[in-house]
Amino acid sequence: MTLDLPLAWALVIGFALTMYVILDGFDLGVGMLLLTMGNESDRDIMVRSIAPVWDGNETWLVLVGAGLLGGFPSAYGIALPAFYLPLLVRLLSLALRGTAFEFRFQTRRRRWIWDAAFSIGSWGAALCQGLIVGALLTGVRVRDSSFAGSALDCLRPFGLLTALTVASAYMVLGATWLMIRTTGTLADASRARARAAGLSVILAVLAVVGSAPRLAPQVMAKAAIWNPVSVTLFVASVVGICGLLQNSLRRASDRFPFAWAMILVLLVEVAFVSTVWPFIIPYELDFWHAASAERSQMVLLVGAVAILPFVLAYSAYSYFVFRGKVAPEPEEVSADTALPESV
Amino acid sequence: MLDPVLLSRLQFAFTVSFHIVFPTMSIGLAAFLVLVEYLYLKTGDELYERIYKFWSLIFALGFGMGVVSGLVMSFEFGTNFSRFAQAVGPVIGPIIGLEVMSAFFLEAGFLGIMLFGWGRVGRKLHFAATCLVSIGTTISASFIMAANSWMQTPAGVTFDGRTFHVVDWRAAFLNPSFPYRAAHMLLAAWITGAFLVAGVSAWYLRQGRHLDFARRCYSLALGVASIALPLQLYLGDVLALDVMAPHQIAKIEAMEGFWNTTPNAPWNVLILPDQKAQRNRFALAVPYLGSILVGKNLHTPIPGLSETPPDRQPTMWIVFYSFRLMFLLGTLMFCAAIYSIWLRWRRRLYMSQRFQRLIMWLTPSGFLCVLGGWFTAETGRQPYTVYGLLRTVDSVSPVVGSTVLTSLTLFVLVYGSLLVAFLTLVYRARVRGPVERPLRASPSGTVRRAFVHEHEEEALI
Repeated sequence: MTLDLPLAWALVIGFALTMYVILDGFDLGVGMLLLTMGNESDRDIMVRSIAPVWDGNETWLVLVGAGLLGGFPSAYGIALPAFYLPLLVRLLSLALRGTAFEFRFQTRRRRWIWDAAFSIGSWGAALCQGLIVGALLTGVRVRDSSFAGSALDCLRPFGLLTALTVASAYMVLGATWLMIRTTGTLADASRARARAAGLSVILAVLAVVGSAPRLAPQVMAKAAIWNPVSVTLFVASVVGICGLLQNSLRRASDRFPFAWAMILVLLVEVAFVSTVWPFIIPYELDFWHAASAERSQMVLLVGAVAILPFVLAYSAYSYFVFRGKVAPEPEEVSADTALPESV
Repeated sequence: MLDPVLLSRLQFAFTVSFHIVFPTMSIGLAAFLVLVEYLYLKTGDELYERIYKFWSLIFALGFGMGVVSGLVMSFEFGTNFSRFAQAVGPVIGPIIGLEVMSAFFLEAGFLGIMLFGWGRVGRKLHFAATCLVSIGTTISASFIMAANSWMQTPAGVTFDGRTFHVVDWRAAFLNPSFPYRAAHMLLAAWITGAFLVAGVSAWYLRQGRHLDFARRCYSLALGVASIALPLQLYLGDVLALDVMAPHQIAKIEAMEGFWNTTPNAPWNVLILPDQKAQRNRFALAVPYLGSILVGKNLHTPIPGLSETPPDRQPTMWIVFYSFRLMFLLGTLMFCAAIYSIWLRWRRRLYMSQRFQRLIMWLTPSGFLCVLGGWFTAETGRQPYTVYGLLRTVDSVSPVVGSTVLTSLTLFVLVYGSLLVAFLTLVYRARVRGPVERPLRASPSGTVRRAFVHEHEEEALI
């Protein structure tokens, strides 16, 4: 049996994407919920719950980008110009968010500015990801192995609905993550947010599926898996898992809601991938035809097999070091707040 | 009509110039922090702990900026230079992929422990985290330099007019200019970090604040600079004349600012080149110095840019002035480093007020040199992206000018405000200075305390 290199490398990219969606999903979700919590010390705790891990989470996205460039350069070269605007807005959002993160700790009086930047960046990043998902589902126009559409192709009503789906799913992740890491009123508030975001996932998914015949006829026509049975099955599982999530939220459990949230996000991701499968540029280029030279994919694959287990191990270790509830700031720091900001 | 090629180049130049400043600082400061924490573990002197905590705060600010602006770069190849990405993906993609897996994750994974883990993990483990972050920044720089050097001196590939195919990975990775350029960049980062640390310390010394802290930093940083700068000057000379000249003579020609090959050449200080007429409208030069610097004698002819056909020439003025910036400032830094050795030997390192003022003014000099050097390297590579093989005009994406103008405007706005905020925060951290009382590592039992607290506390004092 020979190794199907493009398939193997596509699986590695799929794995990196999944890691990204779940890990950056929860820290984006926390950012999106930031401004809904009015209390400043609550916001501090929220940010501190993700501070040591966020850039590791984001690195999975860089791996997806580099993996596409090295493994599927022709797809990379078509997809990125096609999603030019949402991609760059999303990158700028991530930039805003990543710096707001570091900067907010350095200031007290103007912390709200950075909180706002952090939240706006998180919303921008999540919504643009959703727009890109929608644009992928409706297909990309290609001629002569280059993108042949316009930069505004990806801004369609259907994309708005997928954007809402992605944003809601990230908020569920964020809220349930906060339940693990916080206590007291903040944990209660997070529970309420998780409940609302869970409902909004159901509504958004229903809207996406319901509007597809009108807004995205391409999906129905071209996606092999799109038929009444599979769609019903998908919607039923989303509703079912959201039900289980709501149920675990009603009980006092800290950890189960996050597990259900992860399963929910995975389900949505799997549904998306199997809709466009086996295309890497829907519905023009499948990933075997987009594959880079064998030698290039081999280097990447060997690297991934050799290195990624270590990456997973020490990432897990980092999460382990920073486990447990994030306590409110100890007393002595509140005394410092009385100090003038600049000396 | 808006030209997407020019706008894409401008956007890339803007974002990559913004980006490179921060990794340079991270590489330099990470190495400095390794040194400081090593000395702390060895001597147990609490002063080193204070030095570590102060500079790790600045490091954290810069690191975050580097991560997010680097993320932009990894996608910008595709958004704006998609035909370049499709052509070079099989070569550069695996190099960047390996970089992400071996370096980015390492940095990100241990950065949290390095910044927030003080007191959560043992001292030795914390030191290991600092080392791993520093190693990560170094590996990352090496991979990036391999990819960029391959664009400068491509090797180990065949090109079918559409895509590059790797025939020899070792030759592609270890391409002719890679070892020299990687070493040049790493040294540059250490020197930049050293001048940053020394400059801030000089400011404290002149103000008479945090004297013990400032003296130790000043001495350490100038020590690093004294070793690194002579090496850098030598390496730069070898890189330009022995490594780049055989591969990219046009870049050297543009750097020196002559159109016709000139024996007994002067050294141009100011020129006003007219690319169309292939001549300088004006030139101010130091007699014979050009030949001395290039050939180490009075007569060596310096090749002129007209030796290269016009359609393969880079734009002279930008290459010339970027190089002048790097060279002149680098020479000044070299003299400062040598003078610091003299002062140290005479035991007057902390006394010379005038030298402290010079060092203070040289705080950003490393960054400016790095930008000058990169502008020389990248604009000197034009009109190609992959030198001699793939032209820049054939590399861009099929996007329209107005779209690129939109994104460029957004970049300028967002990056501009981030830079202002960054500089304000660094300035304020400098004004606040290090903590005066020694900070003890958190005693046991506070493990569940807010981990940012300590970090923050020192920022607020």
